[in-house]
Amino acid sequence: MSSEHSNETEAVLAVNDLHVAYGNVEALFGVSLRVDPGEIVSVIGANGAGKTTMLSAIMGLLRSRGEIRLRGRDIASLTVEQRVAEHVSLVPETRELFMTMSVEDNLILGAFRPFTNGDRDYRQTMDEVFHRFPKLKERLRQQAGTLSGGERAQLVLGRALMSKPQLLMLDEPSLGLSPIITREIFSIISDLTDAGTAIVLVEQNARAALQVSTRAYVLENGLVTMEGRSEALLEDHRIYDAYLGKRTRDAG
Amino acid sequence: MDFGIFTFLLQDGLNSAAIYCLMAIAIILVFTTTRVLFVAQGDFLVLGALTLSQLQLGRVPGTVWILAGLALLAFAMEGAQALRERSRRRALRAVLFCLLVPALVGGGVAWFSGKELGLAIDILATIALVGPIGPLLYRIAFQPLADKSILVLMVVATAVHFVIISLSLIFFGAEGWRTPALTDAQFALGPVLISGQVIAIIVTSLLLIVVLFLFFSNSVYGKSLIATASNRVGARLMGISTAQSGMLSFAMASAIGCVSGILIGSITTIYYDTGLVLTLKGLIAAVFGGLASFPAAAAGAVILGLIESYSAFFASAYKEIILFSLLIPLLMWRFVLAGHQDLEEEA
Amino acid sequence: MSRLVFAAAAIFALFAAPLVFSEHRIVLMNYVGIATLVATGLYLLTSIGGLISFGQAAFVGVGAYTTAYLATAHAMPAGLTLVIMLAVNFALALLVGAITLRLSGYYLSIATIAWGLGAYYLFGTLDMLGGHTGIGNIPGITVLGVSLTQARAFFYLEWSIVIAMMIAVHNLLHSREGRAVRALKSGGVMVSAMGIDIFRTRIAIFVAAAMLAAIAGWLFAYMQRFVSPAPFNLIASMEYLFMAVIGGTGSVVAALLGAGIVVALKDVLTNTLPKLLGSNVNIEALVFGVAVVAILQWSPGGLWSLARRVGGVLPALRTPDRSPSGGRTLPRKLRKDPGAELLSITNVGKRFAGLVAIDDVTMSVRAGEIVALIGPNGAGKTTLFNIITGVLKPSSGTVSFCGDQVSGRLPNRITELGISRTFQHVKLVPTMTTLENVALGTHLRGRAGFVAASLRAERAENAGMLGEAAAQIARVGLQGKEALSPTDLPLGDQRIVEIARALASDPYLLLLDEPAAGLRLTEKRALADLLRSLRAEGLGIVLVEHDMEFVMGLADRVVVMNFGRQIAEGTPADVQSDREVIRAYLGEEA
Repeated sequence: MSSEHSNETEAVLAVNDLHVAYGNVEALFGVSLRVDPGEIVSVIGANGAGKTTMLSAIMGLLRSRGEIRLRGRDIASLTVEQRVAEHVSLVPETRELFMTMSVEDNLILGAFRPFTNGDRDYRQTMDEVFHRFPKLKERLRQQAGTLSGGERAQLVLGRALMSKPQLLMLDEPSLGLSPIITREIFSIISDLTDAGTAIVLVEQNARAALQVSTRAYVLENGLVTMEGRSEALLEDHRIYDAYLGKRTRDAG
Repeated sequence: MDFGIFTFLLQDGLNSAAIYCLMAIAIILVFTTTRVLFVAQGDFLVLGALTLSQLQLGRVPGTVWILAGLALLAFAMEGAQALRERSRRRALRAVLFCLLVPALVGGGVAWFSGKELGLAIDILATIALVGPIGPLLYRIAFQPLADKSILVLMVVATAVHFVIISLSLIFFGAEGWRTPALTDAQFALGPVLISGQVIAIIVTSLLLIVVLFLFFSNSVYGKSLIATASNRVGARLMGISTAQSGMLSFAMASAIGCVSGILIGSITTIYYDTGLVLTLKGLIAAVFGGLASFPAAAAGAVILGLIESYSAFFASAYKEIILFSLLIPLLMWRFVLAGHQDLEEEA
Repeated sequence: MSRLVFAAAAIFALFAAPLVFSEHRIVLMNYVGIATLVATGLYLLTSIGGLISFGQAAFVGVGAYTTAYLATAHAMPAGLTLVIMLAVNFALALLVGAITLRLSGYYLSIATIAWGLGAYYLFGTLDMLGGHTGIGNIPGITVLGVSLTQARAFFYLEWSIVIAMMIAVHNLLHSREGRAVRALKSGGVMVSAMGIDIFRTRIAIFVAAAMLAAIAGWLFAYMQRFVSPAPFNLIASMEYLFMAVIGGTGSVVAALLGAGIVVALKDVLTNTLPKLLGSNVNIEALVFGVAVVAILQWSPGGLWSLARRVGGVLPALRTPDRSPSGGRTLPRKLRKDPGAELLSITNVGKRFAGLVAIDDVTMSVRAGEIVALIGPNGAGKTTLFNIITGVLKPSSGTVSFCGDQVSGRLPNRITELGISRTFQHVKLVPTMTTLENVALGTHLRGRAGFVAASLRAERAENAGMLGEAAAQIARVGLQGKEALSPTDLPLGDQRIVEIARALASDPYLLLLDEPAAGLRLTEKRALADLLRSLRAEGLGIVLVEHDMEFVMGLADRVVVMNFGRQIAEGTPADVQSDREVIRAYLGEEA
């Protein structure tokens, strides 16, 4: 099912020569990236390599230069709101749940854009979300702020799914989760592509990311330094030294 | 104190309570959706009452010029942003909402004023004139600072209050105005005689509470407003336009203020600077409701109105001192209840 | 030095004003002086301290009314009215402050509206104060037999006081307590971790601002020789606030700038402009309202910082000219013997709303050892730090330090015991130099209070504190960076500055939250060397860190946490071969 840059199918996301600067300090130096329908693409790299910056730019939260094409259409000039309306969704590292609102309200707000565009039947989407995350149904009336870490991770994914995303970007979905819950979340993520959703997965936990993704990019100091099929990268000694094995191998 | 005085004071207290309640509702509405403690809320009431009074006299109200000035300023800001973003869509929206609509409303009112089309038309014209002032003020003064702290927004609200009272003074003068009564009806409630006007105010308040409750609890748009205040980044990621949310809240606030002005304009004389004291008393009621709960604020308004009315009888000189001193223990009570949430805001 | 010359020239020019300007100008300048005093108080309270007061005019009113009452009803001389008026205001401000400063944020601001209005209505109600007509016929002021009823003579008295007060506030802001005030806005956790009593600091600036307002009221009473409630209403308070916003931040001179512009504009708009236009339309409120919104949108630092940006003459941050001459530093505490137990955590647990953050952790730290705390994000490491430093109270278990019970003490009290920390997200004060930031850490090693600082009577102690800060900066290898703002340093250096600040408190135990994050390899090595030398001096160090290479090469013992539980403890070698640690945290070798 993996496809290396098959040009017959139109890419869901094609980023070309993306530059982002904070004031005078450049954070991204011409990053290019492609995600095909139903594909999970992981982006790995060290702290501060520019992974979060890249997602924020694709979402429109940060000003950027370069092309961002969604199914062939350049969306670089659109506002965040308009990108959401184009079914782009970002789950940021900071989660950004509505802590003081109920689980149900959080989910309903996930469907805000489709709703205002005339797709009023959010109840059905919500049932699909409950099918994936039965726990959320039990917690429906509870305030989001009172959920545990694992439940929050489910809510934030469920809320993103409410917008029926065609491109879903996940920034460190395992952050702060125990290994068991991390495994659970990753297995859910690998199922999300059933509906044809394309996923960009940014992770510190490089091994887990490479195991669920079809392809991967390595970002270092604002540049893509490697890309390829995830299985191949898992075997690559450079990746192994830098991101997978170093923690235990170099010690002592 | 005999029973007659008792009932008179009761009635008087309820009169004030109804207005404080409307103030408190708007203050809570604006605060929960934009984090702005809007001390200029009462000024919308003044604009509503004074505009109606001028229309009734057959004059072109100064509100037309206020609207025109604000609309041009907003157009300049929106236009500049459209140029920066090279967004034709934003430019078109700016022309429509900052030029065409205000021109139509202002021009229309100027054209028919003096034609004596009746109270109902004048009331509609008043709402059409004052209603857009809220969102325009939000666009001009608050939107560029929307992610700043509550305290900065509070200073901006104070500055906006200065601007509106100054404009009111320029366009309506320092003398007080009254509007005609909407109804002469009187209702006997046991021994208490209540005027139809007061009933109208009470009904409006109750209706607003119910409508707003339904709006915030059942409507996706209502939830989107609360979400904007709860987490601006989160709201944007859901595709909610924080700018539009802000303008919508301020539109509701100016409309509520305007309607309150139309309702009380015939009961009390309104001066250009009447607004601040009414806002502050509404604020006491709103604090009673924790700046969050409409029904609790309504209860607060009733208690406040009654305390004011009876203290006016027993210790008239100390009436205001008593009312504002109450605010401090009220704040401390609410502060303790709010607990750590406030600390997060500060950090 | 050139700035001192400039200031002297400005003061000289000011004192020459009565010789050249018209009577109207001088009267106007007298009003500017009074407003400047109030605005100087708000500079301290609002612009620097971050507490917004809508009640400052009420303190002016209390000062003016007390003076008027004593001078008329009891025919007291000005010197006596000043003393009594100050005493009355001090007591009142202390009382109001003690009640309302329990509140914070917008709650506090609403409370200031409440008592400001209450005081205003009281002025108009009390018969003793003449009701709405006020008190007239206040005798003119006489100093050393010279009558100062003329505006030109009054000018000298008033501006001498204004300048003295501005210098006092300036001195204060560059002292031990002043640095605490300037740090207030940066968040409570960091400030109390420096051992600063936040509530006391807030009360102090509240009272100071009230006293400045009261002195303004005293001058007002003798200048007008008549007081009535109107100048002390809420609108007046809002105007004083506008002066502070318009003037801005960066120097106490901003208060003078704001007051000068507002009072002068008011004069032009109410007297000159209507005459020119032939109308009596009053647009001052409009102009001030628009000005405040415009300034907040375009130049949040006010006109002062705008002028400085445009002019570029004055340096962005004050260079530490009260510098550590002769390398004076502060006396050190005696070190604990290596191996002596410092920190002991017993069965500590913490729950948040049903979520277990920490479950039954027991560990200890001895002098002269480095203990690393590792585990996935959310494992409870930072929560444990917050419990040790008193930011959070444990739900169960006890924490003790050198035999003293720690749990239950306030964070600033725990710092006193000799525990010092850094933060995962760097918390430095951007408006202070690096030297001053580090000097914050010495807070508990000095004693001088607000009054001594205003008079610069604490020069020796302050020099010692700054010298100590400079010594710590040199110790961590950042010499030469003292005068820079921490925001001009790379993130790695900012982390090191936090370590210097923590060391400046002369602690027994150092808690470091991810000190190596974002550091380059060479910087990490330098940091490791620094931590080793601290260990050799007998310090205990607890380290939360993700970089295993860094941790394993440095730590004497490693505690591994996962999901709030302590899953392993031992030497780096033990921990690395522990099955559960590999499964839960380190991961299987491929």
